Amino acid sequence: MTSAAAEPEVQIATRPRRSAQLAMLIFAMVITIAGFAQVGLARDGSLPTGMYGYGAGLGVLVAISYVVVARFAPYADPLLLPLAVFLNGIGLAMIYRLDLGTSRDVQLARAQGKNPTGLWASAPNQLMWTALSIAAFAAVIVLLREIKVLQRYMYTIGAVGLFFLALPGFLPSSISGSLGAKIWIRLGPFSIQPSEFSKLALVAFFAGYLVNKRQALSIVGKKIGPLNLPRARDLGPILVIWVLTLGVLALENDFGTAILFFGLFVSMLYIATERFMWVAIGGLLLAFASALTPFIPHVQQRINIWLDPKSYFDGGCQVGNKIINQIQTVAACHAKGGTYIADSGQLMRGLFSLGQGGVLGTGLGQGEPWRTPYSFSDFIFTSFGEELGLTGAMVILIVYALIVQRGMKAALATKDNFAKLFAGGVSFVFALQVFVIVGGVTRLIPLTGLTTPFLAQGGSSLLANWILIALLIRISDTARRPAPQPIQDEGMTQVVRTQ
Amino acid sequence: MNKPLRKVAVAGMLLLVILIINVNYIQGSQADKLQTDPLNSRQFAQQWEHNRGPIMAGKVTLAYSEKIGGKDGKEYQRHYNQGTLYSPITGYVSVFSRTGLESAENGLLDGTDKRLALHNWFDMLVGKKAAGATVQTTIDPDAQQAAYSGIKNQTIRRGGAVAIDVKTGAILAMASFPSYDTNDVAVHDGEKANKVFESLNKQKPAPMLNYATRETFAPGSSFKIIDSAAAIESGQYNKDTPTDANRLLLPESGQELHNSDGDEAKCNGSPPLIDSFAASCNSTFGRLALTLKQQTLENMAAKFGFNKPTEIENGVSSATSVYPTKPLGGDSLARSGIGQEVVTASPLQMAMVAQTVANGGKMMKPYLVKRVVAQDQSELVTAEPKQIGQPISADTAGQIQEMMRAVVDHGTASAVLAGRDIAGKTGTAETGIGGINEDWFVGFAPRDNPKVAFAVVTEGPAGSSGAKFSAPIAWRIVQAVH
Repeated sequence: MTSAAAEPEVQIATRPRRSAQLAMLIFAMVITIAGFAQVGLARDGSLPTGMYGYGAGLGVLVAISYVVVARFAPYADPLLLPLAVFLNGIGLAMIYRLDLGTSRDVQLARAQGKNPTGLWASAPNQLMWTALSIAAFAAVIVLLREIKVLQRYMYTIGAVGLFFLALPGFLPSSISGSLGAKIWIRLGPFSIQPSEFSKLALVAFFAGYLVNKRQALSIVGKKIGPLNLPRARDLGPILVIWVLTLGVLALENDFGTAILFFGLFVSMLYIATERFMWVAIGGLLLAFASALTPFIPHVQQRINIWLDPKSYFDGGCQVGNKIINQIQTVAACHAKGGTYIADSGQLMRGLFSLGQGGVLGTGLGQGEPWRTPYSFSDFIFTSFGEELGLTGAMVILIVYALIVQRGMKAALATKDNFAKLFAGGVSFVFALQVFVIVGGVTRLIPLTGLTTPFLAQGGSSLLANWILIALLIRISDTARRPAPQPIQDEGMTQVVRTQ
Repeated sequence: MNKPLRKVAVAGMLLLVILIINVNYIQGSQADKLQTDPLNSRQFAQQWEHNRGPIMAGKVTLAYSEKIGGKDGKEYQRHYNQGTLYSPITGYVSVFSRTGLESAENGLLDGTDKRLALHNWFDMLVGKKAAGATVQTTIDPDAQQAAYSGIKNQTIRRGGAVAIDVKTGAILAMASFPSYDTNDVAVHDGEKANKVFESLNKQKPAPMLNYATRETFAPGSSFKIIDSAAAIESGQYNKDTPTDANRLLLPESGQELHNSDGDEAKCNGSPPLIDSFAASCNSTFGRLALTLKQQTLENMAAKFGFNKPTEIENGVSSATSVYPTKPLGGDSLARSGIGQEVVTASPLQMAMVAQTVANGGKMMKPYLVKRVVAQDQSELVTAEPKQIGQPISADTAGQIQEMMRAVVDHGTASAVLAGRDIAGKTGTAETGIGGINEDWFVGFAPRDNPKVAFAVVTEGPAGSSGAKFSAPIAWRIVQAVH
């Protein structure tokens, strides 16, 4: 590690690990089906009919994915697929548990006028999206044999990514808007959240661009104080894309995704150029951006709620210097002569949900996670926290950590710089996404809407994350594949390792 | 690129480690706090699952749970005996909220308190729910009944009464009128409960307000106990010091501060303080307030517990009785001396004043829970009387006791109570609203070696007085105490 030229050696196991992968896939399936069984047993005292259908459906999909990986990416990291299946599976079980059509306790709560949130939880939909996602996963593994193909089309991919990212911002709110953010494209019964895919596209574009320009970016152009800035013509395109992206996200009120893209650019620049300066500049820009938050009402609300959630419970209304809570509508607040600020009801209910779970949880199907709005999507983590307790919540976080770690390992192992940057970028962004949404619902940081990868209900997110896993599997397969045998066999050769 | 990649990998893992730590903090150490957060409505929905222990007053059961075996966690129904009579004490459990002792002692009543878990470790091991403990209150059922019926029959609008054990501070009666039946709000059906709450909230005066502790009234002449305490403690007065009882013209407006308790004839010349007190001469005490100055009265009132809420049990506290801290003009200062205009006090506050005087100057913390007993008869909580202040010396207290006896012997209460073993101070404050008077009687019994201190307030029409309206109720309460 003394010189930059001598990269540290990464230990690579260059043999297929099919049986390990299979064993872990079966394990993930067993947990999922046990989850379904427990939901039924807790609620009705019998195994739910859905268990067989969903179990069989998921089983077939998993079998297909296993065969595809074993056939087309045999050297791939054996852990990535089972981890994704595990999260997808328990997510499906939780959505099934919260689905009004299948959950007796949610039906009962609705009958009692308690306003459960299972109304939009839809297990059949999520199973359908799982099927589509695994099909896309298989297609990527089968069709994309070399990750480098993406590098070839980087400008196209980047442009398409940016276009779809920007599209909802220019569409009428009736098509793109929901809960204050304009991030959707709705066509009939289908709705797509393009930022999920743009995220992958922009990582590919940046990886390609930075691989080409990384030498140039290290050339010092101007010096401003302690900062050695690269030449404008090298840095320019990145800055343009960066400003465009963040501008679009600000326009769409999607600050969670903005944080994600910001982290993405900074981390990838740092990896590509190996210069810590980029992190420092990123920090400065972040400080500057946070100084602007008081001028963005949408963001300021989130920060107020985060700092003092109790004051805003079920609607915070500012009258004079005091904030009165439980003023549920803007009109009711105006009637008191106040200004309606924000509502922390969802955040607080999420925390109550976690508190209810405690260390061991209430047991799947035995809690009341449906009390939290969007308990099946944005707040699915607190639903798990309630029913599986701290124990289950930690398992989920550790599985996320394992995915990040396996992704980073693939990045370290691969020799191709594009693949390295791509894998490193997506893995870090994956970690950042989990941090922003789970940190948001656990009141570690202000809450911004992002999907909880693999768990939350939502097709776009599921599809994009399965494609991400497919790409990581492709990269790790390439990295771990043994070098092709020399054509001329010169008989027994003693291999000497030199270092 | 592997070097920065490793660092980014570490950063990514660090983010997840931070999440894990945070989740541990929330679900590991904050869980209890979140579960009992007042904003958390889950706890109310789950309370029907618990076999809540009873709340008792002596041998009388005030609240108990009945197993009805309903589905969906609605296993138990809470019942209240004479809910209307005991509502200020028990409070209630509803699907939306908890109040009173039901709230203060919730953990012990429903069995979730850690002290009970210890007693039920085997049950806990086999997944059985801990049985709730029994809360034994300090209330004397007969005194409570006397207080409530007394007020109900007398007042034309609202009223409250508190009786306290002089030596310990234990609350023997705490009655409030108008009241409501706690059974009506303790129904399982949220919609039904909501309707009851809505209709109760519409009624005026509000039946769910505890007029014994949570509402303040102008104390009127009963505040003269505090004036006298401040005067004697200042060292410039004793009960026999001659005072100026002649007509008092207010310093700013020049209007007369009328003597109106029916003893106007005695209020002239320079009677000793005790006689002015017995006759309740406004002229004397208005003048006394001007002489002693606002700061002196404010300090004495604060020592007796004014200007801050008094906690009775965990989360159950009184409304703040007020003696103004902002500088008063001369007229207002004089009126403050007779407990009018700017001064307000809860019945509990005035009962504490009487208790302090009767207890040789030692103010005891008022409390409602005598003991809490687990189902295996082990005592979990035993109340220990606690002195919370000594606003006046034993000597001052003795002099004021004598002054309060004089009120009954030959003063404003003599027509009603003469010859009875009781002492006190009357108070009649004009509210200026619909001609209604706040009629007080604040005191203690027996006259010598007092055991019970009390404050009774009722509302009567113009011309009513503390002596006529409230003193008889106080006498009935005192007789009822065992």
